[in-house]
Amino acid sequence: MDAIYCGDTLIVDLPSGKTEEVGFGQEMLEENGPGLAAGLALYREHEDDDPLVIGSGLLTGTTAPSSSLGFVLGKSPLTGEPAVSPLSLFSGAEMKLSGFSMMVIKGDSPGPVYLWLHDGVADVLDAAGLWGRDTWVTTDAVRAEMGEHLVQVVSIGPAGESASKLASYSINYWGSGDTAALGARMGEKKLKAIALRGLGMLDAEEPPGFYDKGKELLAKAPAWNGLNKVGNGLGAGDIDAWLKPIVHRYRSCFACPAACNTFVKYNESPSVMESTGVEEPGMLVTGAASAAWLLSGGWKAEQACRAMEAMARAGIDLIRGARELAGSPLDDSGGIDNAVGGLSGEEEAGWPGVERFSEGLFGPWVPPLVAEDEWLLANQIGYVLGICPIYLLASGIETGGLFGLCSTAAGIELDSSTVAGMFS
Amino acid sequence: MGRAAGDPVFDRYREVFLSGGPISYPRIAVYTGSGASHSWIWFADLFERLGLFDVRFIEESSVRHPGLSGFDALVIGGGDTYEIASSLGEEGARAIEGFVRDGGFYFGSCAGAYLVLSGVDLEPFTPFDLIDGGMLNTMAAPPEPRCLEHKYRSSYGDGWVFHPVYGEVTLAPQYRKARQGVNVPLFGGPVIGEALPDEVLAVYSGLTDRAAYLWPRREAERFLVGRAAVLRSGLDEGTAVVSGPHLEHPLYPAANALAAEILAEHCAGRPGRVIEPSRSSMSNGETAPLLQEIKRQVSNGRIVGFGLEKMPVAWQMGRKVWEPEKIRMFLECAWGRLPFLWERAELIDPSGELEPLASGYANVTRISKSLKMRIESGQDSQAEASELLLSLKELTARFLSLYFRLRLETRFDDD
Amino acid sequence: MRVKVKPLECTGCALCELACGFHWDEAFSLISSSVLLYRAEEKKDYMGVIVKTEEDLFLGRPEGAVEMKLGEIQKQGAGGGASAKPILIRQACDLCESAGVEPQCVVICPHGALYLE
Repeated sequence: MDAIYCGDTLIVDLPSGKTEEVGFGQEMLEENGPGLAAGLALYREHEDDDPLVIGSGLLTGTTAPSSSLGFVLGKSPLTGEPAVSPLSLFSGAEMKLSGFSMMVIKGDSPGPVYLWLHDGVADVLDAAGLWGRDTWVTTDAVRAEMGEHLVQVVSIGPAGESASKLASYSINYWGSGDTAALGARMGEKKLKAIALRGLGMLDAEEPPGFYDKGKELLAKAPAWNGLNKVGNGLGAGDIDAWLKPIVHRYRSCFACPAACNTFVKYNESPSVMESTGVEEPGMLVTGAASAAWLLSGGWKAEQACRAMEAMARAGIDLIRGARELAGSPLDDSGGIDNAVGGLSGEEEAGWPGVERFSEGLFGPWVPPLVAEDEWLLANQIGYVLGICPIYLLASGIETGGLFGLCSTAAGIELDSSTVAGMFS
Repeated sequence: MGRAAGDPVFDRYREVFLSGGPISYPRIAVYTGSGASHSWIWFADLFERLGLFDVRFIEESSVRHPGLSGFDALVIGGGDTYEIASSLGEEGARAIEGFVRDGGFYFGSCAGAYLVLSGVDLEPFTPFDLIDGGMLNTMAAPPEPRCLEHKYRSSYGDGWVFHPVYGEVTLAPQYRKARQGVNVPLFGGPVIGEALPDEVLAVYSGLTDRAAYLWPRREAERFLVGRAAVLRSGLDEGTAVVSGPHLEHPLYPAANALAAEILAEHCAGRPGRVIEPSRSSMSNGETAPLLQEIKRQVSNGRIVGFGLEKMPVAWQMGRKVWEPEKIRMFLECAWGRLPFLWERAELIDPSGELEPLASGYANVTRISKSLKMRIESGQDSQAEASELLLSLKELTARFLSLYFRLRLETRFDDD
Repeated sequence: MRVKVKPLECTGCALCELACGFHWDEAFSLISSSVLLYRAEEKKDYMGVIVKTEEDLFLGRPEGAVEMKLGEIQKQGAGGGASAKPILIRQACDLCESAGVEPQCVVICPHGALYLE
């Protein structure tokens, strides 16, 4: 099928370094459902090869509100069960545009490799020169190698390479919502990074109908700047006020009206707007939970963000790492690096003052803003449609409109109960 | 290309050419040699959409030796007219004139039009003299432009050739199939004067909002409207046509239809060329990996090229300014046609045809990345850019030669 | 009348690029729009919006918006920082007139970063 997905399923056999493509068609979608539901079907099909399945939602990459979401699905070293982590910022959309609808990565590579997916071409490339490097150096190196700064790089740092249970993959420089330690799985596979770039187009089945419906939804979709709305009512404190003195700008994920991501500058004045400033002026704070832990632990904003930067560089789960650091605020950068280096990984992911929801497919990257069953449904809908579940919950946007988009996108009729049924 | 909606006249001529009916099926030479820029790709697009697949891509050396006798039509598009004229030289000029007089069809667009106008009376143009007509867009001291300074003028003798408007204009066809105005892009082509009235096929009839006005719009309109844009002249057995604007541009189907009509009128009643079926299976175990490598490197090149488009740089080569976007234009030409190569892989010679393309595109990617690094580090990038754009032009011509050969051999497969 | 940018209102969601690209191609992509989100300096968080017309580029730079004639950009040659963007092959903005609708980038922006003037 061509509508809204653009390509086949890529199967990567890491032991041999070979790739093959298998069809990803309407039949797959109708039998299993789109997005994570299709991903789960692929995971079960290849389960004996300990796969990582990577993909995107039905609406990812379009003008549907907050249609940024992709996913990484694999067996979490923390639970021994399948778990899913998000591909956000622009990485989910780039996965959609890469020319492959889904990707199944099987087995372990004999040596360090990275994957380069570009417009329907999949290359397994030697990563020996990247092994041991942090995620910032890795992202810079891959972008330089490919000659393009817009390549999205999902990489692991030293934590992932040592398969630490604290490991988390990082989206470009900024960490991620990987609370399932899937970064450690990448490390076990000697998969240093996945680089994504596509110059393709996504066609809807009914383009004008899709576009007009999407526009109507966007017109009603709440927009905001900052992290407070995401941490609203969770005892997270006033994160935005805490960060304000060092805030440079607010950033959105792809197609998202909410600019939760907060870029802070502490290596130069936040008011520097020109591009001629320092090369690495600060950090993009993408997760309310990690910020909330450090705020609640009495950290000063700058030191907290430096700690988050250190964790992102190392490829450490920002939420669990922040929770462990929370009780020991530090003032000096040297101390911060040591503290991050000494993290034990004993803490579970979660939110300050909130009991963690049940173990399962979805982690606490999505804040528990509602009762557990509603929270679960938001995750399911989000990962199937490719809409950020945090935005779904924090905005209160009507999911009916999003389901309406699915029929104009790909001729698929969905509602909450059919989506929930995909996971039973 | 996808946005060029069908034009009924254009589609009609496409059917006529494909059916092999009363119009002959011409063998066409597209000039890609020194001085040709990128717009010859548009001619390739045009002929493909017309169903004309007997197309070869030739350089100046082939114009001189073995010459043009094996062809029915020669098209020369946009570029650096001085460079085209210098590289073809007097021998090339004589070859072209002889070709036309013997029954050939010459179509010159933009630079290819300037080349053969009798009024362009300056070295190295003097040997090229196919059509009576002068250039009106010359001045000793043109006024300063409002914008696009780098596109505005180039030296011509003691004065300048200048361009008061750059972009979409409207033509009024003058010949028997009278039609409503035809929109077409003018990118530095001639405004023609002193032409014989019965040789004028179209005049400039208006301007549109989709153009940059280097002169104030009213003055540009006064200058342009009513002046000749497309001329046709018969020389002995053949025909020469020149067009200031690009009738071949892929986003202008009505202009393409005008070009198709002009070509079809030349071809009507002339003996057709018998094209013998010639298909042999040549693929081996190397075919698929080589095709994949070509796809890989064209993709890599496109991605780097896309990133280069935002860089604040352009390169002067001869009298032409090349922008980074041209890199991707060449690569897109191949990218869109790769699936067809896969479909017809069995007809391709892996070592003779695919290997040079695979290594060529890998080299293009390498140079592109090096070019980007030099620009980002503030170093001069002229040498890399020249090497890259020349490689891309040659590689694209090689790719299209293969592509059109396959299209020609398989043109009846879907009947 | 043209589309202009309030650069500091922009959050980099790329909806404007998507909407404009849809206007030209009836498909979703980030390669063909007349309005371009510049995001190639991610570590510095340097981001702006560029609108191409027939004659110039409106550069919605975070340090201040500026209109730059295309000839001026070429004269600058190499360097010039992130501000000079000769995106010449993309279609020029036609204010969505060819689709008979109001400028979609302005309509779709959730933060009012694009406006008509």
